[in-house]
Amino acid sequence: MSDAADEPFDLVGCLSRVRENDQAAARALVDHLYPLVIRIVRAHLPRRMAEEDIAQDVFLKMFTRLAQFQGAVPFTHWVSRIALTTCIDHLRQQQRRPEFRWADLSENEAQVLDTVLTNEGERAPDDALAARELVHKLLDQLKPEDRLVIQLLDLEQKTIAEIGKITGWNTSLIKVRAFRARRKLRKCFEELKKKERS
Amino acid sequence: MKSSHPDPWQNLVNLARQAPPLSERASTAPLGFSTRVVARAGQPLERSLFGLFESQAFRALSVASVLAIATVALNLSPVLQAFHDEAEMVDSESVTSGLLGL
Repeated sequence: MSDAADEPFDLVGCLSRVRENDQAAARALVDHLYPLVIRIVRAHLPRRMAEEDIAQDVFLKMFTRLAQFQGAVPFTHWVSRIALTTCIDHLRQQQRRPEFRWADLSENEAQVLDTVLTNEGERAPDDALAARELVHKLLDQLKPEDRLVIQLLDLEQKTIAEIGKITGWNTSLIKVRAFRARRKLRKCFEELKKKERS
Repeated sequence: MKSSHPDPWQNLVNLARQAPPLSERASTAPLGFSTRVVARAGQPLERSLFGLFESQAFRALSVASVLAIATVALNLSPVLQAFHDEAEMVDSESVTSGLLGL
């Protein structure tokens, strides 16, 4: 391994070189931030969306707005916010949310859903994978902002303060969005229960 | 293992969190990605047709507003005079004036 790979990345120095139109520094910055951006994009977008295109959008916005970065928050937080808002924009563009139906679920997913709805039954070890698929299908039913909040709260187990830092939203807005998302999810589950019985 | 939470969503989320991470997809930038992004970021932004129309529309609106204000300012006194004359004529030709023999 080269020594360069082991050296810590000099973000401040790199940023100042990028501001002086140093292309090599800009490329290094993209390479350095790519894992952070792609993790956010993968976590917050439906899987059918082209993650690389969205990551590219995030970096283009980052370069366009670089002059606005004042250093009030760490640079990585600032980029994370751009990545999150880009994801929300793409989710909004999707407009149509596919209906959640029993008929579209795999056998395993239907079984897991039945277990969580009735709160009865044994769970198999591979049910976790089906549960994750179900969670993402249910999240597709929510508004992009509500989806983001509930995902950060319940799946990534972030605190409201942490979500505030990541998104820039205030506490009451986050709570309202979480409440709205949970109410919608509850409604989804109630409808599914009714359909199951009928 | 049995479900333990009364809320189905929490139950589902608790179960989903136990899932192993998704297949180890590369988290490093694909070859040429940074070069492509930096090249695109360096290009002057392509102005869409709508953007062009938008900026021209604002200019046209500003020019139209200035012309409208100038027209009103230049023609205000003749217009006011015309109104004044018309009002006087209506007064002198009104039914009441006729009846009273004024």
